[in-house]
Amino acid sequence: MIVGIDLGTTNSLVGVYGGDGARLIANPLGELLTPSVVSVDEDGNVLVGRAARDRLVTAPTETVASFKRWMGTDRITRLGRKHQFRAEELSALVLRALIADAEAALGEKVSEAVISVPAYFGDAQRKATRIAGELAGIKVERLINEPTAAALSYGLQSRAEGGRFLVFDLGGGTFDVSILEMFEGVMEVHASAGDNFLGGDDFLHAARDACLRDLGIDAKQLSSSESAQLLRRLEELKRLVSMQPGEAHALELNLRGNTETWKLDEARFADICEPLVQRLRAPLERAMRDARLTPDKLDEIILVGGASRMPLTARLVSRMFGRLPLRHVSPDEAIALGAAVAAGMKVRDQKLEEVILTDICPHTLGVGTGKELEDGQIKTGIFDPIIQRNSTVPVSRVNRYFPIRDWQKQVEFNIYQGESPRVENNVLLGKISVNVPAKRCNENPVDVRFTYDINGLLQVEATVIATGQTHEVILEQNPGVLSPEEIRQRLQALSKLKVHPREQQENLSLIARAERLYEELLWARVQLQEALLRFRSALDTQENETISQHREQFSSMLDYIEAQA
Amino acid sequence: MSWAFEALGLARDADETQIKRAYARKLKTTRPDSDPHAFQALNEAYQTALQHAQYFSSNQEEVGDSASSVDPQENDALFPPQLLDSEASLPSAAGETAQQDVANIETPPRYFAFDAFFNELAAIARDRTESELSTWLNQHAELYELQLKAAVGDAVHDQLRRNELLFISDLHLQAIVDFFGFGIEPWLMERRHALQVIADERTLSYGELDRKPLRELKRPFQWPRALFMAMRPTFVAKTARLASLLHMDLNGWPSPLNREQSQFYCQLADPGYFGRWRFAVNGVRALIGAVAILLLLLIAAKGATEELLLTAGAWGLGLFVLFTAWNGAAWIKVKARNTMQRGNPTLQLVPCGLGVLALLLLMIPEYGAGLGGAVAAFSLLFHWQRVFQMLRFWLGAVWICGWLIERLLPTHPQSLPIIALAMIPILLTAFDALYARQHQVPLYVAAGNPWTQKASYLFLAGGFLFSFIFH
Repeated sequence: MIVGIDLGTTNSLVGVYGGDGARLIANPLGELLTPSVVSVDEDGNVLVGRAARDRLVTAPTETVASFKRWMGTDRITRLGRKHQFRAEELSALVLRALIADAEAALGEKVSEAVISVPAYFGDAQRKATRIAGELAGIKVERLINEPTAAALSYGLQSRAEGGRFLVFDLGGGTFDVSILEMFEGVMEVHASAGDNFLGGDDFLHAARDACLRDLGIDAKQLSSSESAQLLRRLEELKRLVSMQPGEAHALELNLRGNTETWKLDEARFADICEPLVQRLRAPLERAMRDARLTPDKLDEIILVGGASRMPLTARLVSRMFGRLPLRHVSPDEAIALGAAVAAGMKVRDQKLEEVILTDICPHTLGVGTGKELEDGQIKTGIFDPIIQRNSTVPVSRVNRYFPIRDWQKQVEFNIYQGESPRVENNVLLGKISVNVPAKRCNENPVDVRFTYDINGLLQVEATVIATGQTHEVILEQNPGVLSPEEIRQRLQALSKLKVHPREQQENLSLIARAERLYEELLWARVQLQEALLRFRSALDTQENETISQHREQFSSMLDYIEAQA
Repeated sequence: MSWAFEALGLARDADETQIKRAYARKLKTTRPDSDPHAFQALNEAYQTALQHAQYFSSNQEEVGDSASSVDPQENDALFPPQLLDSEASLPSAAGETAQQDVANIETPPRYFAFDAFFNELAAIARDRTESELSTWLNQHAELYELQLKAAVGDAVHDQLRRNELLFISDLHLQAIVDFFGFGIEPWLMERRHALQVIADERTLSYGELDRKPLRELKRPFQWPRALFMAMRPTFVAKTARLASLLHMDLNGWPSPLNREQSQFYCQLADPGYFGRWRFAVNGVRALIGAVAILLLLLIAAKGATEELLLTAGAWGLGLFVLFTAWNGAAWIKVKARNTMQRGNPTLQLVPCGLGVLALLLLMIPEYGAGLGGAVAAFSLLFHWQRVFQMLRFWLGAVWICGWLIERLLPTHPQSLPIIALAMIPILLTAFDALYARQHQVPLYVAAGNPWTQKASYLFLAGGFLFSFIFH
């Protein structure tokens, strides 16, 4: 069985393409969105999802969120005392939870998944996503770009007749813009642009900074639990302000023993986020320029991603494009649905046989070159593109290079990704050096072939024409990408890890929620303490009926308490 | 172009819809995931055909619209060109009405005054910090609108190419570039740097402390002054170097440097130049020399004025011939080197052939020694960089040939040094050729190879032993 997965910065979803089209699969709590949060409890067991998210407040040092931002880097996160994870492993834990849900719902083994990635993800980040799948024990052959996935679900649902549309995807941690056209069953991506470090989290952090500034509190004075709590409350406030933009909303906070009140309305929020809104402009402009389109040639502008619910995004779009954007599909679910459609396309589902997707490569890829100036000096570091950005993939291109000096014995190629004409401003992906026979430089060409496949992964090949030798570059020297040996080691380490069984998820998340409320609400502590004790003893009986009875009671009580707050 | 239409199975006048339909049909059998190569070819055909069809249709529209004087390349641009003019009209999409469905609202055309905008931009870029500049740009409500911003960005870029705004700092320029999102070409940055250097007269970054060469280059060309300046030691070389570096960075665009001035200095600094300015400079030098001699003679010795003048004149003439001969030799050297480096295999053998010719000329009874010596000496010019190797070969050859000649040709002892001289190019070429053959490289690369080097030492040592044993 093959599933589609949206591995998001804040939430992840899993979907499948079945007889009645794409549908999403709920987790044991009955929710479609599983928070991308991983936590380790006192016994060293791993928690994923909502329970882990609640533990951000109660156990901030043992819990981690937003790790998608570290994909493709060698950053290591410590959870508790014993555990150390890379972003790939944390993602693998989330993937495992999603796959377990899918297997439970489908009653079938899931062996493969199509995972969505931000269109603007580079080579290292895409490789890391694939490795995360490998660590989760599934095959990930196909990666799909998030805006493309969103357009796929949207385009197939509502615009069978085709048209051009722009997908504005503002997720928790990344921002993507893609311009697509659909005609005659072909979904063609024209251009993609984006910012890998701009998302809903940044808006939230801007609000937090403004709040702390207003209250005159230094962020360093807050305990990690307090700042996690503050972020959670602000997230709620942000949602409230986005939903009811007309009025001001107040927030009561317990910080450093004092109760503080902070008010926020939409206008103030937009003001706080002004610098971030400015950063949204450039990718939109670039995608339009690259697609060579004017706003009036676009049929729709579609907002997806949870953070696109903020009214300021719609306002920005209408100021730039002179019209209002559309939000037909639920912005959280569009990408996962699209990934599920892509999974259906991968196995050539009959209903999708007529749909063909062509995507593009969002970055320019090339090598660093040097040239000899007239006075004999050599100027190096000139970026020579081989695959231009927004080329339709799969694409394979060859450029021919010559050694700088006569009788040179070795040529080194540095492979870069980026848009700057100087290599130092671009991202180094890898190196290759090839031996060439000693000849005059203009008789000694080396062909460099870049092949960028449908999943956005790059393969580089250098051919020495004189000898006919071909060298393939292994782009794995990058510290952000794990080697096969390392993957094997991590896989063993992960298999030793104890993960709470799926059936317990509901109970665990209730306990985590109660603990979080205990931390937040001073007035309800006695009640919560008692209820927690009662529920724990019910769990100890191990009788399913007793447990479910208590669970219902406990859950409705927590709902009541939270509503009171 | 037609290959693209053929690949899609269409006639050349197919329109956009037909192209898309054909592409979609072909894609059903040529899928990107199952046959990447065929897909790439198909996609390229599709893109090419589409571009052609779009270009063609937009061109036709333009012709219909009577805008026939506009360059067709411009028509391909996405924005109507009149937006670029100041006070041009454009449809408005105001930011304030964002909450309404603005697409359905008819708004009167608004005007964007580009000249005023640009002047203010330049003033702010000059007087304020770069963050203030960014804020000012971001706050421009009209520039939120994509089409207008693109048009204004193009116009700003155009001004940049025309040298406007090049005086502002890198950070300010970066702020403008970031805002409008146009790429700034590296040559434009180099050019900007060069222009700044010329304006400030600070040539340190080009390795020149003295300001005089740059000032001289900016001045209009006057031959008496130029000749006078050329008399100063090292001035020509410094000025020529600066001029060529600046011109390289200016990338051939009109420059504030005087063209004739830089041409004058560059020619004089080039040893491969042997034209009228060379003679003029040598003439002036000789004249100065002659005057100096005359003054010395007037002070030191008394005699008839006519006689002194004649002596000074003769000295001047002599100096002129000397200078010109020196420059002429340099010129020949350059020409010879260029010939050698071009790697023509037969030309490689010219020095060797001259050596053989010199040996043959020695056979001529009376003038043989003189002629042979001249030809042999000339052949050495080709290898002028390998003086020490040649010296070792010569000494070795003198000793070895001396012994041979004593035995074989006892009548010609006086031509021994010349024979040795003629042997040099022959020996050099022989050992070079051996090395080149072994390493499979062309002959001209073999210059300075270790084999010939060792051979020259062996020759020296061998010749020394030879003469030591047999004398």
